[in-house]
Amino acid sequence: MNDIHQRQDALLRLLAPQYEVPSAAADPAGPAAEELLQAILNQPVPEASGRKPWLSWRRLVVAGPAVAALAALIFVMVAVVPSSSPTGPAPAQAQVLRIVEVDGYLEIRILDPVADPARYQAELAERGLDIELSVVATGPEQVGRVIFEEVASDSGPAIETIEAPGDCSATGNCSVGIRVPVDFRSSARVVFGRTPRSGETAPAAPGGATEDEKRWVRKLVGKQVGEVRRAVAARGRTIEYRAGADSHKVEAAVPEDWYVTGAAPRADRTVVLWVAKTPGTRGP
Amino acid sequence: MYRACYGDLLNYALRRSERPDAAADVVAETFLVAWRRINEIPSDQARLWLFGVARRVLANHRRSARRTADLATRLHGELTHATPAPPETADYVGRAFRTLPEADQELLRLVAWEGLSTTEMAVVLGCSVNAVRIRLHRARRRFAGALQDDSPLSEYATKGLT
Repeated sequence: MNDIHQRQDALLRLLAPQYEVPSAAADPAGPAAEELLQAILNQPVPEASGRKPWLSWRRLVVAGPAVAALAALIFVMVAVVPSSSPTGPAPAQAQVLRIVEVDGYLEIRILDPVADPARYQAELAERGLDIELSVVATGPEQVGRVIFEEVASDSGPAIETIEAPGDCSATGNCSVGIRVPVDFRSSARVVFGRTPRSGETAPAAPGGATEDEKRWVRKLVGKQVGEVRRAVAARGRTIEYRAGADSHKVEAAVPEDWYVTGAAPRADRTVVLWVAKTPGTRGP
Repeated sequence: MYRACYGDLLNYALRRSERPDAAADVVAETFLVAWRRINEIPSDQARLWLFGVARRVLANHRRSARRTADLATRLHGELTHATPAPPETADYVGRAFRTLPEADQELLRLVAWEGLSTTEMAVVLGCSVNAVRIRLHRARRRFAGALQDDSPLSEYATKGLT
């Protein structure tokens, strides 16, 4: 931007209407904003128009510390999470899941995050679902979130996450449950995060990215590939490119004038970059 | 996302609405669209995505003067009493600005009012960065010309802009 542009912009800024907005309306957590949020959350969400397979997967990668490594640890972690029902099943146990059918989907939320995982499976099986649902101790950022999701087959209806705008982690994970099509016939694994019990520590993925690294990687978004390539190399990292609506891995050389539309650090000192020909899009 | 973007979206709507209470409808409808298309919102560009939606909501409102009834009653009420401060610049600047096509005005507003880069504007406007650069260059040139037509401040005008 040259000096003339700056002076033009200074003039234009003076044209911007300036309002004295009451704090009750201006505060994002104030009564007016809160009322609007609740009104919107009470609106029905129409059926998703064309699920984007990359989205949930990508969000999960961005959401957690080195989720790729975390995913590999999930079976181990599930194995060491002790059961919360040492006394055995009671004759009339409360539900551990809330399952509601809405518009052709079963909306599933966890009511008891420290229940015996077998009880989750049992309640899901009653609905004819082969979903291995588990809950693992996580840091506060991921408590109550879907931190891992894997469906056995790519064909057929897919599992979606229930999102709650206004209740998102700093990394953009707003998931509070899952939506499973009533005709879902495949099998899946879904993992939620929960608060560690007293004396329990949230397992950290080995080699996970530091906060500093995550911040640095986030700043790569919006830049052109050539610039990012040099910046990543200067930090001694390697790049894995992904593109398209299906987030496929790109093996060919990515043009330097493409744009980075998403980025996530991985535990193996690789930075995953989602790239597109134009910024703000996901397909090439 | 809601709380992180609420303030910026409210300001965006206030600066572009004919009446401050109309901004409440724009904010409400924009967030309603976001809620209904939650899976389409890029987590790293939510604010820009919302600006893009708000831009279309504003255009629809100008065409139909409709309201998103009852969703933002409190916000509507609070903004009814919001009072704008008079512009701190000479009339000819506003006059020159208003002679520009709406598309030029919005480009210049996004730069000067929202402080967006060309890359960010491309997200809001749904076009390529190159297209934004070209359109912005032309908008600046037209604004400079309009200023020159209407004022002695030629130093803001064509010099360096052609």
